[in-house]
Amino acid sequence: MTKRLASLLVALVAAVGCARQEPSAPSAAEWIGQAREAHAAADRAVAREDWSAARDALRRAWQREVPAAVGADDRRVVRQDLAYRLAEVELSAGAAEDALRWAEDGLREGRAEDVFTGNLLVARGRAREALGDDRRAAQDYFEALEINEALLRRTFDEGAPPEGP
Amino acid sequence: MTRPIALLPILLAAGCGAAGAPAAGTTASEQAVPAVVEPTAEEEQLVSGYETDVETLEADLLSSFELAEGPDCDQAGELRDRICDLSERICAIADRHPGWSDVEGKCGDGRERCERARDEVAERCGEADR
Repeated sequence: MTKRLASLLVALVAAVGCARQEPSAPSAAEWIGQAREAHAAADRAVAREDWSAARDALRRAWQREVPAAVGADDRRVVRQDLAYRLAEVELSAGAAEDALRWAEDGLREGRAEDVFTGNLLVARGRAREALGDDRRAAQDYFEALEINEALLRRTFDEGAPPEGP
Repeated sequence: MTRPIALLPILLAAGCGAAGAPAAGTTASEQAVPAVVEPTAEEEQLVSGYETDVETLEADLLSSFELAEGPDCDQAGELRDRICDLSERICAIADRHPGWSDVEGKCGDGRERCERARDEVAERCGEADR
């Protein structure tokens, strides 16, 4: 799990943790916590190259219902990171078609100029390349490159000293 | 260099305290119009030493602010590496398919963007990050 996602999950837990919930409604904090646990379980499984265990942990998190209290963009980010991890696991396991499917499922959650969409484009490019679809793989890599370039510009813009009067 | 920065408030407080505190053995009216007293050679030497300290501390303080407001160079370095890695992936595909002008175009474009990212990170974060 990326440091960025870990920070985001902490922030999300803090933001929605106190939200009032109906007793029967799924808790947003619980959902986010489960996603975080799935990433941690996948990390452990990947470390011992147990692709099946990694896949199961991430897939269970993916299949959980998203609570209504979770905002659209937060939902996208959490689910895109799960789909990206699943695609990476499938690529490691040599299952390029499954990797492609996960990358596409993740991209169907929406698109933004951020690391989550960029990662999915790279994963889809790798899957397509493995399947021999080189031209579309190059297109995915190029779109991911453009996103990373925009993120680099943003990094410098945010770090720029404030302008004088 | 953190020690001089930590000393700055102490020096400032000491300086302010000295300026505001009434000297022992003076009345309120005497304090209102301070007498001009010539410093001794020893005091002049002391003041000169403090001036050097203050200049050093001021430079340290300014550089601390510059660092705090600067870009996140670790992140910038990671993004530059990703841009360059992706451009090389595209070029590897172009090399495998010599007639694909669209991919060749993306390869050239990607390499230019990689170079720009390298230059920008080097310029903003220093040559060591190149």
